[in-house]
Amino acid sequence: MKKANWFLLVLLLALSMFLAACSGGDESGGETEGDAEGGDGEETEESSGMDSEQVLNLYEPSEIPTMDASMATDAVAFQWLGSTMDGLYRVGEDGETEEGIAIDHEISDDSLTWTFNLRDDATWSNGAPVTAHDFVYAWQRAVNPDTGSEYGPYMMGGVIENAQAIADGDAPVEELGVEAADDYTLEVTLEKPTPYFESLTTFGTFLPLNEEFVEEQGEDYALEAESLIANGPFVITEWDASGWTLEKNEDYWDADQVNLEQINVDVVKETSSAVNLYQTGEVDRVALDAEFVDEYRSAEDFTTIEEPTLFYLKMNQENEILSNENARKAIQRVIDRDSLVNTLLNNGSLASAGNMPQNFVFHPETEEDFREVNGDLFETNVEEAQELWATAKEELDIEEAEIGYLGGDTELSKNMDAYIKDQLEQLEGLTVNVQAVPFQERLDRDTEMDYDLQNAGWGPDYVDPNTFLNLWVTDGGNNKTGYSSEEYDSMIEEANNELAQEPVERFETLLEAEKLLIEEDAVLAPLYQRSRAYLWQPYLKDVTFNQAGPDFTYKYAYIEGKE
Amino acid sequence: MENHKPNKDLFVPVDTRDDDSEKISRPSLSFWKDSFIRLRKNTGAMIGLVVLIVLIAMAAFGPSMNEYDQFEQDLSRAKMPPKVEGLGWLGMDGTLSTVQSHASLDQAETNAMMRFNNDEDYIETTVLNDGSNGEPAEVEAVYDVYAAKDMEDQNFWFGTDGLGRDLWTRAWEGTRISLYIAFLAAAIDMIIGVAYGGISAYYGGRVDNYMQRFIEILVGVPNLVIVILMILILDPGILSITIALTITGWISMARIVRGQILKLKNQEFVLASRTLGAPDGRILRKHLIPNVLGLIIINTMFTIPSAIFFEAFLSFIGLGLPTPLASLGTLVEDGFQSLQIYPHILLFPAVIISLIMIAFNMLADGLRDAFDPKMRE
Amino acid sequence: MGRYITQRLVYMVITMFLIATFTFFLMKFLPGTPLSSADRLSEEQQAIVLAKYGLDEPIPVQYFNYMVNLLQGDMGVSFQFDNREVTTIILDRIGPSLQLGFQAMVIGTILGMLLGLVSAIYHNGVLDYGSTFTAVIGQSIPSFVFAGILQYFVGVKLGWFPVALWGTWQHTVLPTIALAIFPLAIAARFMRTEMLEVMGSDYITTARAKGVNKFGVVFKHGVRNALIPLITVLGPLAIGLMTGTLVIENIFAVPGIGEQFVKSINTNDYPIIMGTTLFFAIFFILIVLIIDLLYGVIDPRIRLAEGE
Repeated sequence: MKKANWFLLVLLLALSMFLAACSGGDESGGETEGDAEGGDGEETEESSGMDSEQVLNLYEPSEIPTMDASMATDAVAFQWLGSTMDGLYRVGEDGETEEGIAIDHEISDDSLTWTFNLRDDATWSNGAPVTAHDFVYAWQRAVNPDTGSEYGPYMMGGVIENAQAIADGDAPVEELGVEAADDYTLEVTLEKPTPYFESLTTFGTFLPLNEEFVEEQGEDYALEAESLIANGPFVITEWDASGWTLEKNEDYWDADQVNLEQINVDVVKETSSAVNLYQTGEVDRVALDAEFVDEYRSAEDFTTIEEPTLFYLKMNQENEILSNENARKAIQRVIDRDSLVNTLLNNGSLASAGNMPQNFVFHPETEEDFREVNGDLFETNVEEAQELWATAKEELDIEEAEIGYLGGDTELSKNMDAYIKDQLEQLEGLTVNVQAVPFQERLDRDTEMDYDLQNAGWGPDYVDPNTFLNLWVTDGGNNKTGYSSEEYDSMIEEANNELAQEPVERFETLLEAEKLLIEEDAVLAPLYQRSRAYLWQPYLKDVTFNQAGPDFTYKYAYIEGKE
Repeated sequence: MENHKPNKDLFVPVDTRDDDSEKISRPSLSFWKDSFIRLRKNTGAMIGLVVLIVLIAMAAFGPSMNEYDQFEQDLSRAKMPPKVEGLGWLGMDGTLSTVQSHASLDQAETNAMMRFNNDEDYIETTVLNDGSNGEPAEVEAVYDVYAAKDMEDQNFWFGTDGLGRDLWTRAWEGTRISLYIAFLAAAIDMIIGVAYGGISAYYGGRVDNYMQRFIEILVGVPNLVIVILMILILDPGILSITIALTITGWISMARIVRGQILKLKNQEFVLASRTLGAPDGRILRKHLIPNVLGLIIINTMFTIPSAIFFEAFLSFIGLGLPTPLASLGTLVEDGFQSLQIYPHILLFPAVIISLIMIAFNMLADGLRDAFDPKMRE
Repeated sequence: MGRYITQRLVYMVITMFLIATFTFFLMKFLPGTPLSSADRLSEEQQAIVLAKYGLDEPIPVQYFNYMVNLLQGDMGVSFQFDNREVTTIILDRIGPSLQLGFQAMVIGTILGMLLGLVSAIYHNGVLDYGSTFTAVIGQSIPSFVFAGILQYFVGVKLGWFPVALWGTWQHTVLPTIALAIFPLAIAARFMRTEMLEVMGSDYITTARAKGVNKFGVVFKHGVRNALIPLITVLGPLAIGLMTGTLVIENIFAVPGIGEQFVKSINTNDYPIIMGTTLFFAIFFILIVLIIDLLYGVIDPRIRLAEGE
């Protein structure tokens, strides 16, 4: 963590006091502070240096769409589900898992049956114990077609026995391969060996639910603070359109490890407003757009966090021009990705030339980074691109070409799309028509395959190469490029079935698959791996960034040196 | 007081001729001629007119005044500050500056250098406050961007944007598009709005009732929704924005005209005209419309800024012109993001918008006075 | 008068019905489903989710259901917030928007009228130019730029008021100012024009000739007559403020309805778009009705129910 910048602290403190005086005391006023101090006397003793007031102030760019674990689909929901609920395992540092409700597990010889041993001291915030039945109920609910969950079928289908059939309405819910052997033993039967299942159990959709409470709330479940139940480090105590407040869950099984007494989250949609709030000390961390990076790069509280999220151009092979391999290769090679990340994004993002982020998965024996083993699968080279393009034009028997480009409507994506258009039009005779649409609409048009080129991104759902590579199998739900290669399909199939218990061979097969995808078949034109730039108060400590699941873990976070 | 009676001989009869009594002492002026003469005497209106003509001329010729193209990108020259030879004293000298403060002078200096990537050869630092008076030390660093990028032979008069596009060219291209949208919207507003409002108020009764209900339905659907529909059905672009603006834009004009005519139509001069047998069309055209003309013109002058603003607003919520086309709205929105750090990106388009607005307003005032029959001397 | 109002209310219901029908079919033209990550689902699963929202029915049936539900005050369930009723969402968020809109409207028009009045009284004087200039500037800067500048300088640099967020009355100060600047400018310019016109009319000259002093004339005769056209623009201005708040609400992180509206547009959340549209429509129709009634009160020459 960063060294404390005393002057800044003093200044901020002065400012915040001034502001507090101005605004006549903010919402999180007197009472809560008093309670907090009374409550954590012992804690301040054991970890000296920790401030007596452990309140974290954050913002989110949008509201929580739902706190129902079965229904959640977006980053904000998973973030706060992860802070208030413990699943079998929790996401730990470096993509490892750590104990949650499960203490450990055994895997049967055929890798199909996983038996989890649960702790017996975990309770729900209504006092009920957290048992294996809660998992059975939650998972059945997630794949039950009546629930209308999107992530349930997606995450469990093909992994847990019968999940797919149940989700399609072909089998009763009771046949789902999950069973409570006793209150504290959970038995899961998988459809096929799944090496990343442990990582999957940290995911929001796999969180337990208290049946009694959920059924009692019915339609109203998880709509407001009163209709929520928690078994994690924090409980949501207030929740409205302007934001939400989390307080420490005193009944949490691992409450001793939790330092923060309160987390306040406000909804702020404009980055510039969030930066201003940070400057006046009202939020403790802010994510910066490229425009602000220049100004704050030299600040001591500036930091960048690399994420395993990839962005690339999807090329619809139903388009005649893009069905030509040489044309796709030309598109890959003509874009100067270094300038893109250095000048346009300006936040530490990395140019990418593959379909796997760096620092995400490693060789099971040599510990080498997947990305490093495969290296860059192509290089930017305008001349080569022109040649490839000329060949493509010859093959297609055309002189000029016009293709559409589906871009985003945010300021950043508009700039990026203008840049990529310009780069692509270096190819002689190519005209690119940019169409800026809202995110949701881009997804809709992706589903319909109603696009030529599309600037798209993907973040991992679990820590395994499969989360990036199985996207592109024939008729995969997210493929939508028209790409269909028997060779590629069989590689992925093999990696997930025969080789599931041979980590080294599996890894190597997946390496080959990536080469085939990007280098030979040029299905995508990779652009960059995202980093995000933050201003981060140095007094906010031990917040860890996660590669999958909730973005941040606040369980161990604490405030030191704010006062 | 003594009653003084002047001698009759003191008076001489005027030499009168028959046709003299019919003579007009001032040259006969039509309504429009007279208005124009009075407009010319109005300094404010004339200034507004000149500014507008200059802006329109710049929109027409500005983009071709330097060698850069509005779409020509070069990330190596991104975010260059404005530079005009000979206007260095205005701050347009191609440098960026920052003031960094810190408890220690050294640290403040380091921060100031870091702000510009420690490109020492081209940074000049000045200590504004060495911190000896107890306040934090302040160091100002001035960075000669053009020299640092070895582009001293180039001049970007308005600087460049985040993609290295020349803002001078883009600003005037943007003015062109914004003016086009605004004029078209205003013209359609005026034609439809006046006709609709005039007919509705003049005929009154059932006609008025139906016409007003129709307006209520139209106006009850926020035009945002209509704009989105248009943008989805048509290709997003100048045309769909203009159409969307005009579909609902004329309504306020219609309502104002109706309000005014309701007020006027019961007045005596209308009654007089009707009594003399003037047909409805004539009464509307000759008596009612001229009397609301001032208001019509002022409202039109409001339509123009609101059309320009609506376009800017659409850009702000992400429904504006498709990239890389520029309008004043998209440029202002673009600049808004970097308001705190590269204010030049916002400054020029914002100034142009304001100038257009002020010019239209001054001209509108002048026209109002000129058209007002009561102001006639 | 009573009969007139009843008649207007009946029209209102018809209008609302037409607007609801219009928006419903408008929305059916647009793409968009309640699925937030359709790319992760198989087609059978997508169909199941759509059925849950009743979107598998033929459009006439959907229309009928929507209208029946609407009569019961049920505008359906949001796409982006699972299980959340549109009516609840709108009601939760209407407070801040109404408060901001109302404050801005009142402050903006009153200050604007005063500015316009000053302009008119001191026609072509320094005060006239000063206030005209203020109005023009207020009108020439896009509201989001003005809001950004206010937030940075008054909020961050001077620290006088909270930068953003919602809660105490202090939080409403900056967004209200940012929002009020436009009605202020419009009101000032209209007031000035109208006052000049009124002040040039014969009955004012008569009043002056009869010895009523300058200010007496202005307030007793002038203002009252100048109000009529001003009232006409207040309606559109109010609805403009309602939708206009969305920019300001975004910048100042106010949990209002405008901000939600933009979010819904960007996420194709049609139930909320339709609900908000209907809500804006009711609001506007009410304002029009009030304005028409006000006409009669202010200017007896306008007879409302004329010809009926």
